[in-house]
Amino acid sequence: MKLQLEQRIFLRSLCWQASWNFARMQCLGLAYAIYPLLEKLYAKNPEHLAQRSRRYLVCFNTNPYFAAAILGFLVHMESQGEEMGDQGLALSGSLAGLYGAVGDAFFWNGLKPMVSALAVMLFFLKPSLWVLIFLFTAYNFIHLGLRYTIYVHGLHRGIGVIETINHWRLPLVRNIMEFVTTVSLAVTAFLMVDFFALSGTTAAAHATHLFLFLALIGWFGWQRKKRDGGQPRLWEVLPAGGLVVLLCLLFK
Amino acid sequence: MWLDLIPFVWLTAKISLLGAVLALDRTALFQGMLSRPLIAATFAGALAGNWEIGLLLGASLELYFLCEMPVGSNIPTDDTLLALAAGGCAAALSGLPANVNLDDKSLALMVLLTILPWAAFTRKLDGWVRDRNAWLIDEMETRLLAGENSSAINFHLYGVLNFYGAAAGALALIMISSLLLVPLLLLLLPVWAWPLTDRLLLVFPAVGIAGLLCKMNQKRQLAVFVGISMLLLVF
Repeated sequence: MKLQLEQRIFLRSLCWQASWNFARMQCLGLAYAIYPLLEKLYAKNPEHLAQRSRRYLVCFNTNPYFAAAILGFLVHMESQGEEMGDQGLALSGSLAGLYGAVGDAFFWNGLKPMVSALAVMLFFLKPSLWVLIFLFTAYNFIHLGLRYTIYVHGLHRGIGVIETINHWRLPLVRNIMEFVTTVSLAVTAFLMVDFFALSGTTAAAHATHLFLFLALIGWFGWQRKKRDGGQPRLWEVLPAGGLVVLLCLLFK
Repeated sequence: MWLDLIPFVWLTAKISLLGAVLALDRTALFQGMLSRPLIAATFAGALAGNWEIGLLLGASLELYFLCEMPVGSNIPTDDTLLALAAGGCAAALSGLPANVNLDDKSLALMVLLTILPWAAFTRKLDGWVRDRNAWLIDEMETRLLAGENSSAINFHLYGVLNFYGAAAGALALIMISSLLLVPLLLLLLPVWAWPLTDRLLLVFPAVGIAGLLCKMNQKRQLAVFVGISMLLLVF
């Protein structure tokens, strides 16, 4: 019975950001996910149940995947009594900041670019629907596996989940993922020269076209840096691309 | 003439209503990559009868928007809506007799040129939906005070309707504008530019690669990127 409740709470956490808002961000998602536990604990006293539920409507924001660890921790604390539940909620604000930073770096800057870059590389290698299957399964195998694991660790170990996540050395894993991303981007750039029919018949022409394409990437990168991370404008992108294409056609 | 438009109206409605479900994966539900441009554009392309052009657009947009991250409370461009609209429009227009001789890459470029200016609108729309979601907190608190506990907690899910409605409406708007503008753009494009258009699509993945390299640990990743490129050239 207890396992069912835990699973229900986890499933509810999959719509964590359904009502994300600027006022209190993910607070409704937190209250919605933990409600089955509160309902079980305070079913006999609806007024108290409402009061305990309202306590979760405080400003809360973290990485939506790592929120599972905090949710597990809160379930662990709330199950041990009201006083512990209050302490857990007070601590969850700090945990939200910590996991927001760790989760954003790992998922948004590490896993997502890596899987996407690999999928695009596969597309330029051989366009097929397998690319989509790869993108969906590879990402969710890691994402759902990690999400459920940290939830269960939070559930059973409480605040000890911090130690568990620390043991996984996620910053190192992220560095490896960045390396894989860069390698797949380089291969993608190489394949794109052929895909967009820039490639010439001779090896020298092919090399020239690749250099021109890499120079184009470098120019876009410099433009982006100049704009403090903003994308270069469309009316700058197209003439630059046009120039490279023209040069490639000339050197064919 | 008006009867000719009916398939396009039906297609716009179909992609808007079904595509908005896919767009929910972006923030409201699951967040499991179903909303990535690669999948979204192919899905819309398949609905319109040409998944290949959708996949091509998806790959270009996937790289183009990859460096925009939803870090903290930052709202990035809604690449899902743009990809759905682009995939649907391109697939629909590729089936027209007038465009039979047009290369998929050229058509994809034209569609992207009409779709990308909507990027700022999608960011604003996302912000507006999130602003609107704030009333759900008041509603939930009021109902909890009134003792309607279960119905109060389920108010959280009303946010899904807000996200869905906004996505469906925006998709219809972007698709209609693109379906009208692309034929106009094809008419205005000078003949000498035709050989360029199929190759010009490469600028979008190129911007994406550059953006992603800038986002990472630049010196080390740049060295790796250049090193691998040279190795590939040699071997």
